[in-house]
Amino acid sequence: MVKAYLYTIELMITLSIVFLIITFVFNAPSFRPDFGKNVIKKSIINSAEYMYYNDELRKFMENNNESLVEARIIQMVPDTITIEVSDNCDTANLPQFLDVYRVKYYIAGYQERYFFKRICISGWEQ
Amino acid sequence: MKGQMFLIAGIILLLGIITLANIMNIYSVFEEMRHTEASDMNYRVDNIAREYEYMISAMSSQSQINSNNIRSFTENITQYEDVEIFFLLAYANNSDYTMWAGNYLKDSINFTANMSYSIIPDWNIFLDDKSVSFIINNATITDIEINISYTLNNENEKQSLPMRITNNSIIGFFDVRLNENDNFAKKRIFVNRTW
Repeated sequence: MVKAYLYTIELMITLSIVFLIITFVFNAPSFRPDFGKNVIKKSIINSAEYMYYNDELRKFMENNNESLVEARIIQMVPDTITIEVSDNCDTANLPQFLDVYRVKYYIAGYQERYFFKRICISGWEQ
Repeated sequence: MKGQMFLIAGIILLLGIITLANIMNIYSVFEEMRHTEASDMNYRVDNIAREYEYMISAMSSQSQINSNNIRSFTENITQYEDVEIFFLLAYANNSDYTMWAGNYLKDSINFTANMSYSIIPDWNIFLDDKSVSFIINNATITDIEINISYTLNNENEKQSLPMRITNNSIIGFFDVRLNENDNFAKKRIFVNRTW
């Protein structure tokens, strides 16, 4: 009779520990995925796509005006993101020890005029 | 001893749950990476395809219609990206029309075009990589059909393109494949303009 009591108590303790650990394990992931990089990436893609599809990127690049592109992108992305725009896609001004995300666009003219331009928009978290 | 068996069973159960939780986390991270990589390639192939569309539209305000800009853009793109591009361009002026076929598929292709209601009904050529060929033709009715096919890596690609033979009408077909590592994004577009 006493033994049956003990078995029941042991079973209850075991089940309690199991449920406590299940709660603990599923409450927080064992490691957090790095979504910060994806937020930067998404912000840059969205703002660049906006400029591309309303032909602003094309218009500014006709006159090699990367600074205007940069200013417009900065207006659209969160303040924590630093933007660098380059027409030759060089990496000289990019930080060495930070995660940098870069989108690249090709432009084949504006209105009836044909020209070939390549533009790189890079961003990283400050 | 019987009570301790519950404890042992509980420990085994917990180990199973912890393993399962880790597997689920790894899966969600892979899913996220795959999603961002795929969207990255999609916007890039969309960009290239849209520029072809833009160039076709821009041709309506140009005095001389030829494949030079399309060719120049394609050659520039191949310098910077791992891309495979095939294009067909056709411009009609009254009943005459000129067709250009461009191969930038990194290999030679056998190209065939069948044009309905045309003086020259078939065009069969061997196109080297990075080359453009053209033909001048004449149609007997206004609406014709251009059926093209090209063989690459033993795979036959086919496309049927409608064209209106009238004064200042242009069509463009572009098959763009962007490669990166083991992934690729592909887009085919057909553009049709009359002015």
